[in-house]
Amino acid sequence: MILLITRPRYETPTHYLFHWAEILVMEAKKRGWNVLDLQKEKAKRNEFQSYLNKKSPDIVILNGHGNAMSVMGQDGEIILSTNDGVELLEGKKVFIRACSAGLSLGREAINKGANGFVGYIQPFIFLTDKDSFNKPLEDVLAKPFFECSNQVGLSLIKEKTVEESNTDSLRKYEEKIRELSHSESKNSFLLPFLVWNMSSQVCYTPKTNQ
Amino acid sequence: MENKVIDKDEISEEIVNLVIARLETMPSNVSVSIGDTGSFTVEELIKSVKNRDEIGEKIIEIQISYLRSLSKIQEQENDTPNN
Repeated sequence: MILLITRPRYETPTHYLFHWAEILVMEAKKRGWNVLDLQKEKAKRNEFQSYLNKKSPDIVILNGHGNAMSVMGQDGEIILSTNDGVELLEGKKVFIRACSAGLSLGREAINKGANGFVGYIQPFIFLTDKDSFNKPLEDVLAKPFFECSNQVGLSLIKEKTVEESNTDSLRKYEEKIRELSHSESKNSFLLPFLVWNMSSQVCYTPKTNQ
Repeated sequence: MENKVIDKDEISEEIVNLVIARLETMPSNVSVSIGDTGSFTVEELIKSVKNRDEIGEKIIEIQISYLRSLSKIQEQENDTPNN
């Protein structure tokens, strides 16, 4: 089984995405997957599309900035868009952790034969503790956002379907929301943002796209 | 749950003040990352909400969506018959 993952890192949001996505890389390696980890300067259009074309990964996970039509790699370079490379997703399970890519790019991926897609139809938002910048995995404010979204990738790596992986992630959101809603929680101010991401997460399959 | 688009003109001064009051409860060490528009301190978010700029409008939308989801849950609980 092959996982292709992009992890650009060039400013604060990608710094967090880079580190939290490493958990997916480690889990996949632990399970014996062949991991094509396009990190930092390797997260460029030509390299990404070349791997996608030649290595035929089972799962594709993109982390970075995005919009309705495209996703960016290192230094904001567009690595995939509705009119560039989307056909290469045919037969693959796709998770795009980037703003708004669920609006058009996700639909187009399914139209072009992707096995399934999970992404967001609004900006992906997360909170951080400014004092935890150097230890992003220990940042208690960022943790709920990344644990919930990481669950999509973790379930895909456990060879669950795209729909099951999305459901597992939504359950994780519910669990975190319950924890933060507890009267003794100090971080209940995270709730509006966490609920926002949960509501923005979409799952498309060839069935749902009909 | 669904994020409903909120018309800017529908939002009263009262709601803007409510959003600001909610933001003021957030600790000063918090940074909010909103896609490629950047990362913002609580102080910057409050300023944006007051100025009703693009970021401010997004924050208002997020907070209103959350409050609406809470009121929906409350309605559902009230509609559930007691066993």
